[in-house]
Amino acid sequence: MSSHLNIKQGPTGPYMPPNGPDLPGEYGMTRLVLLPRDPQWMHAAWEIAPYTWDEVKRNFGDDVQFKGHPVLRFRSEGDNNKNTFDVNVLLDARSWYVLAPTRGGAWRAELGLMLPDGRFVLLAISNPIQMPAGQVSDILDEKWGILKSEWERLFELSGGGNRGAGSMGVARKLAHRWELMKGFSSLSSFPGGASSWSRPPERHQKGFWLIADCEVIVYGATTPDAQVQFQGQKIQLNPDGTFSFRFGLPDGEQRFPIEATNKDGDLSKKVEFIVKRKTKK
Amino acid sequence: MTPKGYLSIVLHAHLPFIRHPEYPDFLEEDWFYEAITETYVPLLDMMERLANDNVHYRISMSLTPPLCNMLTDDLLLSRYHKKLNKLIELTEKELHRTKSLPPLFHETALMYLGKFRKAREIFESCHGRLLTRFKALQDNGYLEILTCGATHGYLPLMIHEESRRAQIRLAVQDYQHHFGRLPKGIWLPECAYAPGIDKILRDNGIVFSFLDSHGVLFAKPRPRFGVFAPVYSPAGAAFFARDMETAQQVWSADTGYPGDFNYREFYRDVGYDLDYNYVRPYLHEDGVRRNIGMKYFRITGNVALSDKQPYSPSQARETAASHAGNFLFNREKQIEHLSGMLGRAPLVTSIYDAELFGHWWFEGPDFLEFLLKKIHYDQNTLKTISPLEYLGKFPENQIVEPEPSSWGDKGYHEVWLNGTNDWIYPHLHIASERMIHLANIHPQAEGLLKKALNQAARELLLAQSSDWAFLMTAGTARQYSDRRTREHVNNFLQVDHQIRENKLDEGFITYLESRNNIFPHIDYKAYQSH
Repeated sequence: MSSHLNIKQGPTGPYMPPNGPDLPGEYGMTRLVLLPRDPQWMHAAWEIAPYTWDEVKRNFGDDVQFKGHPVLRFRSEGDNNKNTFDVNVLLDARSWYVLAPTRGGAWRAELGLMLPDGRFVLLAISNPIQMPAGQVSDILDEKWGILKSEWERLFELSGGGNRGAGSMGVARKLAHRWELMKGFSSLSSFPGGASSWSRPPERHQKGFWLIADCEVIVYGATTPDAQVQFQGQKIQLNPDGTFSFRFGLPDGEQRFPIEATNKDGDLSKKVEFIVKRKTKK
Repeated sequence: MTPKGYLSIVLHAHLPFIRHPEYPDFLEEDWFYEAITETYVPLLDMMERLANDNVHYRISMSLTPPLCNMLTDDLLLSRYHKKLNKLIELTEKELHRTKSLPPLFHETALMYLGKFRKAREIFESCHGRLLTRFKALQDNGYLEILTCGATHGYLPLMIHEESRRAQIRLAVQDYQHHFGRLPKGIWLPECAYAPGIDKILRDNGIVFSFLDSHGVLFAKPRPRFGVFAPVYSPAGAAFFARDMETAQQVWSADTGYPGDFNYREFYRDVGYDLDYNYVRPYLHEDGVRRNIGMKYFRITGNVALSDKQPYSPSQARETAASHAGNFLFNREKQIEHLSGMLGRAPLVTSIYDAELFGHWWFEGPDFLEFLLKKIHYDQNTLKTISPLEYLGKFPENQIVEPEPSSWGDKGYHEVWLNGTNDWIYPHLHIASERMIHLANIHPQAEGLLKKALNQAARELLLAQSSDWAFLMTAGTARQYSDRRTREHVNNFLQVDHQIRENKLDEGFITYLESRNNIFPHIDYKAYQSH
């Protein structure tokens, strides 16, 4: 009926927010918050404050935490057929994803300890939530009736319930592109670089990261009065006849042809560099 | 002539509030600067041009409160002006450099110079106050400006009614401040809906909003007209549903128009392509190569970046015109078909992120301009219409309970609630609870206490931006979004502590106020329970 979603605690362990101002690990308040994620999954998050434990121990004994196992108890809301189910949790996890047994229901959760004698020791009660249905409603509107065959056609023309299609794909690309625009320095610690909160080196002490890229520098020299074309374009030589250019090097093949012609225009020399880059990650 | 149906084009313009006066040069502010040059100004220019040409059109566009606040912030506007001038300086150099290259390069450089100079002309002519130009379009009936959540907070994951109300109430106040009237329409942040939100909208005078297609298609009872007519919620708010066919034609990463081989390739940018010393003055202080905003190549095909072919502005424009023609042809067919089926003039609601046009799809504003002209001049099957106009023509609509939904991946709340970002909610919920408590126990604060309460509200609102949770999920700018969440929650907690202990530190509060200065006219009482 329920399971702890792997995205929360996968093989690499829970995701830890990187460094920044520390937030309180707890607020000293007993609370249980229930959120709907989609038609199937709910998310519960809790904190049990010392005052709650003191009260529970007074009523059920000092060893109540060891005798009972923690349970999230879900109760359906707002209909005549009250539905209840329990999910075993780990109190220290402080949050849990729970699979709803039905779609579109309204639920409220209770966090408690299940004692060996069957008693349920209540620790916290959540807010109520309404889950999405995730499907076409069976309820028909008398005033706005429609034939089944017409509805099926209309449903298809309306996108067939193709949820959220498109937007995330492009949104991800947008976000990815922003990341590219930011380039290295929002992840790195280049001294004196453009500002980004993540820049100061001390903020990276706990994190591990790698940045790498390569560029190409083309340089050379000829007689100072020669004419030089680089990639078909005339370039300005330094007074001593030297030249130097630094280029980004994207994956693929890049050609860097250089042609020098003497002052009288009767002698020329060509050099072409062909550089291939392939990045493996 | 009465059209057979209507097209409602809705653009959602939004960026999170990013402003870092504490640094002279901040990378993430580039999102805003680039969006002005590439999206907001070109869209504005396009809409003004059409209006001047007496082309009948209607567009709805959200300008979210964070965006409006950034677009009226003197620091950001002055930084943008400097950036734009630098870009024009580079473009002028490019004009010279590209003279000896194949003609397409020079043609493209000329195109950039024209666009950038136009952007500067528009920007300077209104002293940077672009909102006044958008407002004029609205006042003249072409544009319906929508508001949004105050900081684009994700409403369904807020458990306190007061917190949801504050997001809407403050947005409405901010809208009134910028546009001189109350908003009739709202773009719900991330198109995210939960039961009860409709009542908050109505209580704040908002008449209509939008949902992803399944928000209406899965409504109770079944919607008689699918997504091709608005529905009323139990509280009386009208909801328009996104049409998926038009969404796919533009959004689809594989088959959408923006992927055409003639369109501009984003990833070949002079910031990477040209000599380092040449582009160095136009990079950030750290000197790291990044995109600068001038690109000379077209998408070409599925080839390596090094094999991209030169961009041709004229060919790209022709392609945009052809795509506009194709889009219109498909709409005519769609509307003809639907009008026969529905027995009522169908409405196709096409919803897009505004930043798609120009910023991501460089030719997007051209596409829209061609499309609106073709709709005006070339056919009689359909007309563009604003949601409000449509409701005026068709006031009787079905009453349903919309499906809780969003326009995110998979259609619900998972993008904003998963293992990468669920840690933020306990903090946001606690902060909300405390803010409501503070507002309730201080019904009429004055002086420094009022200033502290107002700043507490700003910090909570900024922490609630759905952008941070989204970026955590997308796996990009994660560190920045983590940091922003923590920073604002932490600021809130400190101010809350000072208020509760009656130990207000004026210096600290003034510092926060100058740094996180969104909503200069905020009133914390928006959080009061009554």
